[in-house]
Amino acid sequence: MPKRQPTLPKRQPIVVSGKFMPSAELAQMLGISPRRAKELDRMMEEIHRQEDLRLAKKRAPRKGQNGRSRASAR
Amino acid sequence: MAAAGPVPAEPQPGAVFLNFPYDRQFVPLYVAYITGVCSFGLVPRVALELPGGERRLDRIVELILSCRYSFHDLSRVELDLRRPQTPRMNMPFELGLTVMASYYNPKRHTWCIFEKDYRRVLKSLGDLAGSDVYSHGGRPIGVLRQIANALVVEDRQPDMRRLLAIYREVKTALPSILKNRGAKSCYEAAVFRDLVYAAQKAATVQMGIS
Repeated sequence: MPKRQPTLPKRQPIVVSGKFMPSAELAQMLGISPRRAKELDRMMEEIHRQEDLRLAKKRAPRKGQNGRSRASAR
Repeated sequence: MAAAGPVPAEPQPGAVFLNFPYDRQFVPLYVAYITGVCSFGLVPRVALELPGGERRLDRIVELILSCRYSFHDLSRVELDLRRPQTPRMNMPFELGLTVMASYYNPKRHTWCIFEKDYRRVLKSLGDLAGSDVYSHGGRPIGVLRQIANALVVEDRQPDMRRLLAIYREVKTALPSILKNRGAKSCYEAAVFRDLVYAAQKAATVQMGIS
């Protein structure tokens, strides 16, 4: 009979509050200037907007099919 | 006479010390660690934030003691093929410092080990048998999944779909951050700080907090 690999017990998960530090406080803690923080805010918002658009296009039905499946669109 | 050691400060409740290799192949996992930790409202800290100098080891210990948690990635504990060929010891060394620092006061610090495959730890660091190991398979999605296994949020747990979306957004931002900072490597302190800020921003937007 093959020797069984020893298994490691799972530790209890760490419970965290999940609360986010205010952006200004985080920037100050990291040593990021308010101007750079604003640039990063804008950049991330733009990336998020573009990602939303990309996903919306992916989900949208193909033109002319009106949401029907390929087989029933004939 | 022994030199005076670093004075242990009260740990910051949301700070997580990240111990991982600084090499090019690790970049996707580096971004995943930052993203994962930030998505749970925590703030990652790394040794690369510290300036060099004679007291670097003291500063690393101080940094570890100032964090409430630490995640240690041992997946790249292997032979560095550049001459002279040597094993990579920094990650297990910093894990050892952490274990010792938290030994007499485990309530002040909680550490977790991450590996590509938990069996590697059983072989390479048998002293850790019985400790918990999170196996990420060497992939960013694995890192995010295992951070989600290690951490539980009191009210709203970010799901994998959200974690992956945040990861994609931070990864997209990385080239712009490097360009803006004029950096050649992701492992520069200014780039790391920008990534942390960007990851928290992406997380708050994804979760509809801001």
